[in-house]
Parts: sequence; C-alpha cells; structure tokens
Amino acid sequence: MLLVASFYFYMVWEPIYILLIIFSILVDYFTGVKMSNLATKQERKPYMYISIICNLGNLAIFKYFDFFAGSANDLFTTLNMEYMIPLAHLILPLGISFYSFQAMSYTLDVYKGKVDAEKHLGIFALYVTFFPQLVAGPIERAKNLLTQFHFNYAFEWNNISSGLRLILLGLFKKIVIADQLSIMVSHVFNNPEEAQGPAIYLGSLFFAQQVYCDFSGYSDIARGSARLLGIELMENFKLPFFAKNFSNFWSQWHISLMNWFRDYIMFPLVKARWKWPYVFILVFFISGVWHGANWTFIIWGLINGLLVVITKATLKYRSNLLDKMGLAKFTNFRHVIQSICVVNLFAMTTVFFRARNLTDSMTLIKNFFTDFATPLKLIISNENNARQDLLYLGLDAVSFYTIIMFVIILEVFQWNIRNKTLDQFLNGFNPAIRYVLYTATIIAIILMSNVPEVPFIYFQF
Amino acid sequence: MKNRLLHILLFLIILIITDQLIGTAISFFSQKQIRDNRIGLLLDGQINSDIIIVGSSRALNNYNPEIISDATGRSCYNFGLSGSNILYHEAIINLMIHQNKKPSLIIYSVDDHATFYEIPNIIFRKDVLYPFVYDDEVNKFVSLQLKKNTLATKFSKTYRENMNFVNALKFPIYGQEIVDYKTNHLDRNGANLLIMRKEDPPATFRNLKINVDNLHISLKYWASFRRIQENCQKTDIKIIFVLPPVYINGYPGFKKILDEAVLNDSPVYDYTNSISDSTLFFNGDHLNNKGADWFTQNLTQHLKEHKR
Repeated sequence: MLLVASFYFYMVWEPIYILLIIFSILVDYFTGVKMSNLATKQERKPYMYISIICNLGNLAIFKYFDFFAGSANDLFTTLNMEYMIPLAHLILPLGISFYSFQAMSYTLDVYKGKVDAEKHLGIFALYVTFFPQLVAGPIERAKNLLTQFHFNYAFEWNNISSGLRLILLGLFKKIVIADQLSIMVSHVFNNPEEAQGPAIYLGSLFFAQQVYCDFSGYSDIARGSARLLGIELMENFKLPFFAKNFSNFWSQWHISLMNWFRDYIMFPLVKARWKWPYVFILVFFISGVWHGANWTFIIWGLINGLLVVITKATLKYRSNLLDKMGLAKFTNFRHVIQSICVVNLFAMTTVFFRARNLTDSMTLIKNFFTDFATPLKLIISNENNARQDLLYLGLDAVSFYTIIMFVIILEVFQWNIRNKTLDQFLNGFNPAIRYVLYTATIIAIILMSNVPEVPFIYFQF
Repeated sequence: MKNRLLHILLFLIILIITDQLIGTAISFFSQKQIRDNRIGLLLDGQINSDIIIVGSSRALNNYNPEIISDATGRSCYNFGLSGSNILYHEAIINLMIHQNKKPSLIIYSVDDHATFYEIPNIIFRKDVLYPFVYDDEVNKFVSLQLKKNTLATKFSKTYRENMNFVNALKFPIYGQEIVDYKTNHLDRNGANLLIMRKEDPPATFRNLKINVDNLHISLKYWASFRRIQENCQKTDIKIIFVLPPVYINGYPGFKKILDEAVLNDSPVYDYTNSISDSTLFFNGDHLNNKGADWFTQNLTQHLKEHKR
C-alpha cells in the first residue's frame, strides 16, 4: 500500500521518470542480493562498483551532463576550438540526488557488511521511494529505515499527535517564514545591478533564514508524515543557527547528507591518511557539486569548506579570546554572540548559493563593497521613501515588520526547545495553553498563505 | 478514546470560531482602510446608474459623468481605474451584469495599444478587488488569479480574507489610505478630474509614436475584448468604444485592429488627436478637468443617439 502511494506520489510530477527510480531499485536490489551471497569484500567489490556506477551514471546524465558539456564548450571557445558538445536539455528528475544517495548508501553498507541485503523486492523498493522523504530527504540509511518496514504498523495516538505537531511546525516554517521572506530575497537577488550594500546584507541574512525554514520545514513535514504512519525518520536539522561555531553548524545542518559524506567519503580518506584540511575541502567541494550543476554551488561549497577548516584550526585561539573578553561567565550571552557570527558567516556564503549565476554573485559582492554609507544614511533619513527599497526590500513597512515578528517568534521558540524535543516542550504546558498555541499556529499559517506558492528550494537538487 | 475525540471536537470548534472572528475583523478593517469604495457600493446595490464608464486612468480622469447626466437625462457613473487592464475591466463588467440593476449603456474607454498588448504597468488590479472578497463573485475572480483553493475559501473566512491582512493592520496604525490626487480623489460620480495645481508642470506634447501590429497582440486580451462584447449583447447592454484625446503622436495601426475586434457594428468614437490645445491636458496621456469637460460635452452629442 505504501509502495503504491509512493509510486503514485512520484508519478504525479512526471510519470516517465519513475522508470529511472525503478532502474535504480532493480540495480541496487540485485547487486545487494548478490553481495549477500559472497563472503569477502574482494568478491563483493564488482557488484558494489556496478551499483555506484549506475547511480552516479544517472546523476551524471540527468543532472550534470549539460553543466559539463556547457563548461567544456566554454573552454573550447576560449581556446578557439570549433568543437561543440550538444546539450541534452533534460528535465532534472525530482529528488534524484536524494534517492540516488540513499540507494548507494544501502549497497555500500551491504558491501561493508554493516547491513544484511534486503531479500524482499517490494520492501526494498519502498526503502528507496518512501514518499515522505523521496524528493528532499532526509537521506535515510538501511539500518534505520529498512528495518522499520519489517514491523507491523500499530495505531498509536502519540504518533498521531506528535506527527501532526511536526507537520504544523514544518508548515509554519515554510509558509509563514520561508515563502514570505522569498519575496524580499528575490527583490535583491533578482536585481543584482540595483542592489546596494545594506539591502544585499539583509537579503543574504533573509535568504539564510529562508533556506533554513524551507528545507528544515520540509524535513519536519516529512518526519511528521512518516510518524503518522508509524515510521521514524532521522532528524535532519538540529537548530543549526544556534551552533557555537561554523564547524558545529555543519554538523547540525542537513545532517543526513553530512553523515553520508562523513561515512562514505571522509572516513575512508582519513583511513587513507589524507590530511584533515584536504578532506574537508574535498567533502565540501563534493557537497557543492551535489547541490547543483552550477559554478555558484561549487564555489559556495569550497568557501564553506575553507571556513570549516579555518574554524577548526582557530578553535582554541577564539575560545581564549572570548574568555579574555570576560564572556566566560555569561554563557548564554556568549552563545548568542557565537550564533550571530555563525549566521552571518553562512549568510555571507549564500551570495553564491542564491545568485542566478556567477556574474550576479560578483555584481552583488562588488555592489556590497562599493558604497555602504550612502544607502545607510538614506535608510535613516528615509528620503524618497528609500527604506522601501533598502530596508523593507520591496515591501511596505507593515508587511516587513509582520514577517520580522514571525521570524522572532520562531527564533524565541527554537531557543526554548534547544535542549528538548518538540513533544517534551509542548507536553510541559497544560492542555488549554497547548490548544491556544495550536490555534495560533494554524491561524498564522492560514493568514500568511497570502502569497503565491513557492516551490521547496531543495526540490531542484 | 471518547475523551480524545471530545478534545478534538472542542479544538475544532475553537478553531472555527477564531477563524471566523479573525476573518471578519480583517474584512472590516481592510474595507475601512481603502479610500476607493466604488466596488463596495456596486456590490451593495447603491450604484444604479444607467450609463457606466469603464477603462483605465484615461476613463477615470477624462470623463465627467455629471455632464453626461445633464445632457442625456440618464444617471452616469465612472468606474475607471488607474493602471487597470482589459481583464480587470471584464471582471468589473461581469460584476455589474451580476447585479440586478445593470446599466443600459457602457462607455468603454479604449487604451490605445495597451488594450491588446500586455504592458508591465497596466495590469489586472486584483489588489483593488481584495477588500471585497466577502462577495462570492469577487472571491471567485481573486481565487483564480491567486491560485487559491476556492473550496477552502468557503470554509475558512481567514483564508478567504488573508490577502487583506496587511491592509487591515494598517488601519489601526495609519488610519485610512492617504488621498492620492491622481488616482483616488474621487467625486460622488466616481470620477477623478484633475484640476491643475501650482506644482503641476504644464502639459507638453510627447513625440511618442508606437506602431501597433497584430504580431504583439495578447490572445488573452483579444479574447477578453470579445467576451466583454458578447456578454453585453447577451444581457442587453449597449456598449460603445471611445478613444479619448491624447497629446502624443499616436498609435498608427491601432484603429484598424480595434475595428477588427469590435463586433456587431458597435460604434467606435475616435477622439485621439481631437485636441491640440495644451492647456486642456494634464499631461500627454490625460486631460485636465477643463479638457475632460470639453471632451465629455462633445461625446454627449453621440450619446444622445443611444436611447435607453
């Protein structure tokens, strides 16, 4: 039943691309079964390679072909060579990066002997296509997800209420925050030539918040939907904006992908005695490539890798500095300062993540450093209604402050649940207050669904 | 189990009541906030005029309904709206048709090439319709435009009214919308005649010439133009087309396209280059109040031909 629902869910988007998933399922299922009959890693290796080549091949053709061909053509033009590789112009299959990585993790785990091969084709197909997390993760592991499909479903009120709470939180993040911020973000990033210093800074900060609420909102909805069905998906975000440094940030952001990189790329490289800074740079480079077939993502990945390396290398020095500043006693204040730094660093990198192309990124960076003081003065004086463009990013004051109010509400809420789960937090209130909170959240979602629907950002990956 | 279901039921009741209360409050405040309430009057059945003027800012600023009333003995109301396109005009005419007291004559003020071309600042002014989504017909238009779920708007008043949320908030903060001299400074007949103020520069001739051809015509707009005429014919409303005076070079080719679009020999009155006196213009595209009076007076000669 769940498998049929999952197939239907995917086929609603573009029926033909289900064939791609079926191909991936069949390859990984049969290589998994084959490997389970073989005793040594050496014997299993060819089957592992078949799986990896098929999955990466899918990605290479459907996601990266045009990018590589386009880049090669640019190079040929630069070298005055007349050869041109024709572009394929294929539609990017929804969720291909997610389900390919999930399928690969299974074969790699079977190869390593960490999990037994799944003998039931239907259950394995459900593992690859389970609809709540099919198109944007979390990228699950066989050990967690596959095993749960072997248990019979038992109705639990707690699962229902807990799942609905997560869905409600996810919808709040997506509709009330992310979709509203997207209007202001587009005002900056879709008009890079006109964007000025303060607007670029705010636009980047808002995009950081937008992408967090958009993606973690999706993950919450996915986890909540799965929980309604009695399935527990892994947590994909652990309040990354409250991380104390940039390295921690990346262990709390898109956890399922970062764990994938850790287990299948980082650990083998460390074992192979690579130096840790190179390992991080490589992992973040791959992370950039994973995000999209565009130079902006690659540069974004590399900058993040560099920032993580710098963070790790200067950890002690920075900690001592904060202590010397007398912040050791004020742990919460120190935490807030650290979080602000992390958010700003991440926001800075989004100039590459969100920009439509590299030229736009460069224009934004140039405009940011050209003249910050004049627009700042204009914001203060509000001459010719300058605030609308530079501060409210295209909106009016009331709309702007309404959105900011909801962002603050979310941040305060997240600060309060940073050491507990959503259920623990909500169960701490008496039922009357809980119902008031639910009602307020639902009304906020209904109220703020007043802008055109914005597709989930990570659907494009 | 019974207890849980009771809790859920209670919660749903609280949610529905809250939803209705908030939706009602938004509707109330958003209507208070706006200055142009002509659609509200139309929906309340308070506009019983026999002749209605429809169009964009050229309709709003160029026609004096009082002169038409005096000359024809028939009541007249101006429904022109700045920046509105033909899709909006169609929506307004459909709203009139749905009223029990529909007009017998519509003066459709034609906007040169913008009538058939999609131009960025001439749009479907759905924002003007928002405060009136309490009406099912308006709600249908708006939901379609915003891709909202029409069925859900029937159940949730807050959802139906949510695009008015920010405007509703503005009323307690800023009060009613500020009067804009050019767009919502309306007289009792719905018109906004532009009296030249000291700070307004005198109108100068704009050397603008736009060749209008079939290639750039929006099929959507063309179809809308045809539907307007068909709907008027079905409901026994006479429609005439008027090209008001402009102080610019003009739009070669447009008149020919307009003639092709007009059905059933509906009359087209072309005043495009009928005035050369700059003192009658507010700017190249709009007449001032004196110009509007002169032009309307001239138009009434034709209107007398169209008996009730």
